[in-house]
Amino acid sequence: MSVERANLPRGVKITADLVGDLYDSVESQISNRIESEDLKLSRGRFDFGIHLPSIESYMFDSATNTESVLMVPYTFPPTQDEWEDDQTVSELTPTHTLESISVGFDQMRMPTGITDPWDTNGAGQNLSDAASAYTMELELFVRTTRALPATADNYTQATRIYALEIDGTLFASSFTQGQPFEIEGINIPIDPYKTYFWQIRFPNLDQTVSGFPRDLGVPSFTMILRHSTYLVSRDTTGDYVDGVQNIPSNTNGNKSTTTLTLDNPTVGSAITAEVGASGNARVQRNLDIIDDRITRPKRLRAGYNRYSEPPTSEEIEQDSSYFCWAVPMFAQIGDIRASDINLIGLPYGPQGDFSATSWDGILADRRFIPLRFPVTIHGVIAVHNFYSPPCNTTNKPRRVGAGSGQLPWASPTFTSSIGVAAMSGVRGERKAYQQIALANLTATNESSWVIDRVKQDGQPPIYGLGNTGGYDQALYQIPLVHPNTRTGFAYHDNGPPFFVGKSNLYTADRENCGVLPAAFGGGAAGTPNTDGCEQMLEVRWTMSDSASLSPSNTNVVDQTTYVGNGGNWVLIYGKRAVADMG
Amino acid sequence: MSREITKIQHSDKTVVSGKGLDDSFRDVQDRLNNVEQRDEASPLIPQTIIGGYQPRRWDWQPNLPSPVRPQDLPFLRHYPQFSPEETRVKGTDSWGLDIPTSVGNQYVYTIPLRFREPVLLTDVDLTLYCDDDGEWFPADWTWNNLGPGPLNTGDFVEDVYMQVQIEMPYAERDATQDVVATKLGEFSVDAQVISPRTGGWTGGDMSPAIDGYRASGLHLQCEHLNLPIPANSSVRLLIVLPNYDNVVDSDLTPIDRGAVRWVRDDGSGNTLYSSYAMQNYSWAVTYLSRKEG
Repeated sequence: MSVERANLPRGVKITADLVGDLYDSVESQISNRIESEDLKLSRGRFDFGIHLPSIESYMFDSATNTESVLMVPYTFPPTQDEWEDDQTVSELTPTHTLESISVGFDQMRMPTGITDPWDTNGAGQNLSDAASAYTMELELFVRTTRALPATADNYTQATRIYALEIDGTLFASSFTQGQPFEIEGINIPIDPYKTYFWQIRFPNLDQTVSGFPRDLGVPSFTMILRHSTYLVSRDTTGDYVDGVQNIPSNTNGNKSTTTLTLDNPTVGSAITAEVGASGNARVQRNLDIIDDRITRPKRLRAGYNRYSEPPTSEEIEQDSSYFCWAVPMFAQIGDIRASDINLIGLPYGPQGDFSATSWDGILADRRFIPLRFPVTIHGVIAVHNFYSPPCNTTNKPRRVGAGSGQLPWASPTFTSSIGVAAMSGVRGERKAYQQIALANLTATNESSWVIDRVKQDGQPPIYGLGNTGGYDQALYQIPLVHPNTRTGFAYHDNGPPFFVGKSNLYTADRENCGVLPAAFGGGAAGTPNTDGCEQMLEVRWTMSDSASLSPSNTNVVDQTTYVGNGGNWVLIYGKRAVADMG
Repeated sequence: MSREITKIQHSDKTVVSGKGLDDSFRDVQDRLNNVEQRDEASPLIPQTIIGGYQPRRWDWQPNLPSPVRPQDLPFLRHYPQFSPEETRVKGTDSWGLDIPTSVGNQYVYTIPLRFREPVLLTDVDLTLYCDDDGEWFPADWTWNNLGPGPLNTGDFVEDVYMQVQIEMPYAERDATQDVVATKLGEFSVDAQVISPRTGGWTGGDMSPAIDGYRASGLHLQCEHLNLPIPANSSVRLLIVLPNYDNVVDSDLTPIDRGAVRWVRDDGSGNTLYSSYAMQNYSWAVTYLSRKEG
């Protein structure tokens, strides 16, 4: 609602209603809160970070003349309140725009190459003058169809929408050192119902290609994708039939109303500057009231502070923006095959056993995410990477066989479990977990949770046959906790949005939340275990097989791939409010 | 006095003219129908970049050729005695650690970030996860014998650093000009444990369980920084861990590698795995970016 008034052209008699119209309009705009269309900063922003701790030369091995590529798929589903079951974009669908990307890696602040962990003369060493081998290729693809269970699968349908090749000489100058760098003006609209994936290549890391005397690695590769997005109102309990889980009970997300009381000019009364009563309009007095409320030091407030507390009065309606976090899992130890599982330095299983006949361990990884400002989680997606292309096994002892990978779903007893929980007790008592999302994927149910399956670009694939199982990576929805099945808010069954954030005395009391997702145990909603004291999220991913993950299991072969090159990802998305800094 | 929202002032005993009213009302209307950043108390949106990994352990890979023990990326050795290394990592001296000519005395994991627009860096977090009983990730960061300097048996190490360096836009690509914006270091790591190493949990574990191991280890944090990062700046988060391969005591006498429980050897003087391989990593950088128009 914008401020409206009648103009006062020269010669028009000034009457009370002409003055009162402005007062009424301003009062209404403030009490009903200012919409984003009336803000100069009318768009939100979210940054999507992709971090790979170690990119190694064997990932682009050309010895078998097939080459290979690193793939990072992702998607940004709409929040639950914006979800449309027909999954098509209309003029009302909120969308994002990829505006710029920044890229960097660790080069020791020198124009140098860093030797690869698999280099037989020693890893992590400074190879002067080899930086020109860091030629990189970055390509962004969008999937044109989705391989949902109800439609025909076509894993390779994709269109390249962006490509960038940076010659390695950019990183070889002692003066410029070329990175980290940023590319602006990309301006690609992002469809919330499509899958996107980056293909990342460093084709010259292998010494047989570069001509340098050593193999090179890329430490700490980091990309940040900057998106412009829409502003929305933050979640309140009343927005959803099932409420918002774990939201502070003192406000339930609702905004307190600001009341601006201006004069009520009456017909027939003289219009004054300051003297008189309300009927006289007292123009200057009311302008002072408006000025005092809008400008410094009070200004127009919105959002949450670090302790999940909104301002005592709020004048801006749309104060939140979309967010999506990419949490890397199994990153450095990616490309895990059944034949190698006891030989590549993994925990949670027997060690030093040459025999792969019966390895009874599990694969597991975990990450911790601090909750510095509150967020409302609307969904969790697991990106399972099976991309394991052929490579030359000479000097690459991690790989027993040179062929392409195979999917693990051939084993009926294989389970891939992904969970997200809030955690309290950091540097304190009351250590507790509150489950937020969970899925236990098996060969029986994995197709019920799939969002998309992705094969790298090309038909046949340009960069080698990563996995013979038809697709290289799969995206799965991991449902939020809730006692009952709940559809119409995401690709599959999904619990209500889940609020997480630190608290103070006023925001510690929280609304009830579920125990487990309905499909994986359910349970009656109750008081959150973290009791409003959460400080971090913990993300876990385990893989296990009661018949063994090793080829001793008759349903597993040497090439069964549990995690592909570059590792897996867990995407956590939802809404995040502006920061009220007090 | 409405000095900011409009320059038009009305006062008694002067004519309240129609034009004056119209001008001042238009100013109010324009200000509220196109609210500028200066009138928003909260125009900044938090952003979080997340990373980390689980290290592999070379001592669990028996088929590797001996004596090659590759070092893993992303940790790289730091050689402060060699130019220009002395400016790559600044102000991270460690108690009594010798600096042999051939090896660095620190391992550094550097995360580079680039900001085209100005942002406000608010928090940096690093979690070093270790198992409760040290089966898989066994670091407990204590000295078994007398440590260097004033450190005694059972004291915690003080050789961990986390710092943020800003490569200022008007002095780019020259590490000597990088600003160390914040540094967490020279502290006893037991002040940073997540919680008492064992026990104290209320309720059950989260799912999926990982051999029953729950959160444990160190959580290093630099919070409430409110560091203004200029436009077109490169920012680097540095995680610095000690290399105890050649530890010496206060008299510069080499200390047995078994003196510190943050490096393990095979009993014959050969390092099996170094400090960077003994914990699982999670890091996060949180900053505030402005909404867009």
